[in-house]
Amino acid sequence: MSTKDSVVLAQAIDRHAPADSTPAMPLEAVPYAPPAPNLSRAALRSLIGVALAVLAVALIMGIAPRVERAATLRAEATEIKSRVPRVTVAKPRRSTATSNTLLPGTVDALQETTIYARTNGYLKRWLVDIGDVREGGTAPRRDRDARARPGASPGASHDRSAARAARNGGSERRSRGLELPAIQERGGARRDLGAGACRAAGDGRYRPHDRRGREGRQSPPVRPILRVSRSSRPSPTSWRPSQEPSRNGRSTWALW
Amino acid sequence: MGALVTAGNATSQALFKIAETDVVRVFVNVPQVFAPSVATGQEARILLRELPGTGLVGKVTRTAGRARSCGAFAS
Repeated sequence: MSTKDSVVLAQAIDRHAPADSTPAMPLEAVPYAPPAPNLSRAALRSLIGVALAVLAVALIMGIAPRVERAATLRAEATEIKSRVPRVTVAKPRRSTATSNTLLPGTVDALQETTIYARTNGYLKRWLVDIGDVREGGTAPRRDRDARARPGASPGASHDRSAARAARNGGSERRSRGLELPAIQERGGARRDLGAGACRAAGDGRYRPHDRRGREGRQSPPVRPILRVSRSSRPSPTSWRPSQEPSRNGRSTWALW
Repeated sequence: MGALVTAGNATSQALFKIAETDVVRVFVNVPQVFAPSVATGQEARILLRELPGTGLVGKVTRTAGRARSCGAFAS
């Protein structure tokens, strides 16, 4: 029952009172007070004690690990500050005079030369092919005859590296030759290509097919640009560079 | 066979190429840190993967003395 209900009950009681009766005192609203629970003092104390105990345990469980960690950190920091630092040291020593280094590289021929035709015509036959290896002295040089009288005698058009190769490995000794491509000229007269176009005979003598100059005189023999001879090496796959290559004028040439 | 062959050199059709193969050259790019240590006349041991077990001894014949910044190599 609330306070308002108690006031209404007091007015209802007042209405049922006799009319002549004079009220002894005016009615007043009295608030309703519910009866207090009937707990003994000892029970209340024990309840409060338990609550405090739970609170204390929770407090201890939360704070204790933090305190422990802080103490550990302080101990470690103190140890690091106080201990002697450890460093790696090396004693200097004299090294060797040489050091080995492994580096990648590429093997290349000492000299390479591109052979071009000196005269126009149609290719009649190939007498050498890719992979042929020949060994012999080289005497590639410009045909003096041809320079003096262009067109007088066949020769070869070659670049400067060929001439350089000639000077380096030149050997004038005639050897059993290799017939290189010959072409049929447009006019019908056969000429050899100058670059090694010598048809060396079995006796080692060079015999060009057309030695006649413009005037009809027989021109002197044309020196071949490249003179090669058969090699004992069957193929480039068996190539074995010698430890001490001899530079006595005989060189091995591979066609490619 | 039967192909037209024209005279000339660089601009025309090349017949073939020949290469001297008894003496070969090995081109090696040397890192710059080792470049001052390479000099003409030094011996160089050459190991070829194509010829296992064949140890060749070459000689440094030329050094370009050129430094390349792109690959940190000297040739």
